Amino acid sequence: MIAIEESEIRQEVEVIRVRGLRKVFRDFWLRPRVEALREVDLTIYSGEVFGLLGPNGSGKSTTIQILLGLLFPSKGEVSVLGKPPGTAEIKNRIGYLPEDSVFYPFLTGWEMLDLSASLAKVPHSQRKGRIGDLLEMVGLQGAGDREIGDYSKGMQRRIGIAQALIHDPEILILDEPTNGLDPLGVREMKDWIGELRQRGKTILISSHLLADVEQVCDRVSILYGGKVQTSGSIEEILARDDRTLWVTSNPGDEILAEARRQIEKSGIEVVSMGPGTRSLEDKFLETVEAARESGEKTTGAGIGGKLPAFLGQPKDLR
Amino acid sequence: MPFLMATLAWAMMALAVQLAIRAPLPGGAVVAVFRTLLAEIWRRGVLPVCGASLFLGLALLPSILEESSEEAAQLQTLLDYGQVWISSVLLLLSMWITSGSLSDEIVTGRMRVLVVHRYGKSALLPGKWLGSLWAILTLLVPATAMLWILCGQVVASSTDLFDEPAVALVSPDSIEVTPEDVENYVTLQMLEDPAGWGMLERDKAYRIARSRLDRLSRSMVQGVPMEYHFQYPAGLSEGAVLEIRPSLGRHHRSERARIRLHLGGSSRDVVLRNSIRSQIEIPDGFVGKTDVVITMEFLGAVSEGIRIPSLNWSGSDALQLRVREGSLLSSLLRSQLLLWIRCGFVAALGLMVSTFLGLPVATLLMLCFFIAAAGGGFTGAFDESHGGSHPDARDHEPSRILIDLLASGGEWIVSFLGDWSRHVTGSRVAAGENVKVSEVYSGFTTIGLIWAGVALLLGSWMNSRKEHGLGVDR
Repeated sequence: MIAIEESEIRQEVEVIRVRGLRKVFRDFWLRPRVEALREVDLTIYSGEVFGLLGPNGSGKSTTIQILLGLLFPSKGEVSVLGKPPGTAEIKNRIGYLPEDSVFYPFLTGWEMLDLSASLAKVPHSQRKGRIGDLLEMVGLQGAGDREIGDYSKGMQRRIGIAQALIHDPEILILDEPTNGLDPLGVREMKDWIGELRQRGKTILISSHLLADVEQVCDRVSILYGGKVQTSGSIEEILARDDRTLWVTSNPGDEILAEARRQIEKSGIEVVSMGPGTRSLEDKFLETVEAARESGEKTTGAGIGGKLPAFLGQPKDLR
Repeated sequence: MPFLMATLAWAMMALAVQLAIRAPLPGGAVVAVFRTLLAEIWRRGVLPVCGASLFLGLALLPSILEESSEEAAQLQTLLDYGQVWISSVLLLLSMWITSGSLSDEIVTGRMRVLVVHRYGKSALLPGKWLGSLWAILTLLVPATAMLWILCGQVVASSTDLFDEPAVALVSPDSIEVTPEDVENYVTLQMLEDPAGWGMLERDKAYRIARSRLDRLSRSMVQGVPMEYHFQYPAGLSEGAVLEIRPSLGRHHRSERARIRLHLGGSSRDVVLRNSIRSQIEIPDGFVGKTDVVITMEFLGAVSEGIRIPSLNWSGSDALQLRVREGSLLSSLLRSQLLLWIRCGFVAALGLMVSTFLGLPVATLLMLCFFIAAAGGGFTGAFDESHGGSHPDARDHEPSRILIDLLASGGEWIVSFLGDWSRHVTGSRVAAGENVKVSEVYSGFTTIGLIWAGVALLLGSWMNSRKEHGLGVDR
């Protein structure tokens, strides 16, 4: 697990602050149609990975779009890095990966990143180097000159994360970041998130995949019906005092049976006990790695690399 | 040969587009959006197909020429049809590539990715507009070159075409009735006949006066000499001709008439046919003169026993001086420049409407504009409006004020469309007329700067005020 004690990583610098946020969508005649958000309060601190969870229509995307300045709040106070969202200065400090890979299908990966760099005013002298580094990071160095329309969904997702990082943002907003990625891509995405966090980036993730969120996020908020239902660190939220999990090396059947007897004799219920299994994700990654080492060719994404240096240096958080 | 030219023209266009997409151009967000639009219309096949249609259409033009017709007529046909074809394709392309452009970004969700960046919103419209201008230019330049080469093939020696002069058309001052003329006429009539003209409503009096003056100025009564003043500040050049197309009335369609012309110190009689254009050379003695006075007298029908009371000048080109001015090539180039400026405005308008309308409705709106503009804005429809009308108590009623406001709006739209129509110069070039530099300036200022500028500013403002989040999804 990448999550670290909340108190250790947080420097109590509020990066995103939302108070009493309300958003009402209106129809053509300005009559209220949908109340997407009702009194949402959120605080995201510098350097943390924050998860925004909730079922469909709970208000996650609306919250994100308001933070990006794409939607205007109906009521409430929203500040990003101490300023209202949507201003030019704030935009340049935020990277955004949209839920769907909505990029120009007729542009090549390289051209798409160049467009993003130009719109974010990355100096011309740095563009080429950054684009090359990011393509390498996301494993698309061999597909940079192919049109995005020819990319698989996972490759489009990778180009999406690259375009979100091209201007070295302080805050990264990732909407369903693992959407469409293969398990290898999911693993890489989690690794990148962890590394980016180490380099001091603040990351806001919206996702349905709770296991992924659990692994990478420091704190989460769960939304339902346009309201924050619960909020806190992963440990706080998931902690339960009626269960204990032991993980040991394989003791053999006899010792295991003896252990179970001893525990049950003490009046403690053993819910589950048995040989350990590896996860399907681990097995998948192991198989793909073996195929790669044997020289199998693929037209898809390659192995992703490390984060480029322009995204900052790892910080010793402890 | 024409098909080889079409292929070369297409290759030129392709090269110009690829250069703009791939060359390491300096510039920031606007240039990036410019390139993206070009890449989009090229890789989606819009530009290759449009280019192929345009150049193939031009290559087929020689096949419509009649072998038996004169060289000048063939040249006119080529220039006329060629320019109509080029302008049709380019104006439709300008409309097509822009009117769905922003709405497409919104519907696909790409707008969100663009506008979250610092310069996403501000660079979008200017970048797309510049991209469409470049796309049009990559088609316009080879198409014009191809048309010129095709014209050269119908002229005996292609080098002659470069020397081919254009002409300026000068209408006589007295044939146009000005508001001052009408005002003076009405005042005089009211003084002379207070019981008759004095009792008429002012609007009606003006209408009758204008109608009478128009008729008077545009007719020559048999036996009454008329003086026509032609002003040409640059001074007449050699080879100037007086062009006459008389109208003898519907009862004398097939008749011929005699006219006596007094040019300088000499006079001569000429025979003219009803509605047939005739040219009369202006003597060299007039070369350099800025004010030419020609006296004409209608002598009646050639056939004895036929009585034609008067001869009329019907239409603005019924009586005019044709003075050599500039060259055909420079006139064509200026006309094409005006076409590019008009395409620029169409592109700006297309982008503006695409901020709030989808492609089908935006296209419909643009087509309505083309149809209205093709009608020339019905210029003259409001010519009889006058500022000094009688005070009317109803003027202060809200309904009246609203109607007046709507009428003013209508007048503005008519004048707006009239400006567009005045800068459609293709047929004038085909007729050998010179398109003046001042017309290009006026087209650039009015259509290129003011109209396109207002459309772009309005579009940018609407885009900046728009929520680009879940709007469409919701």
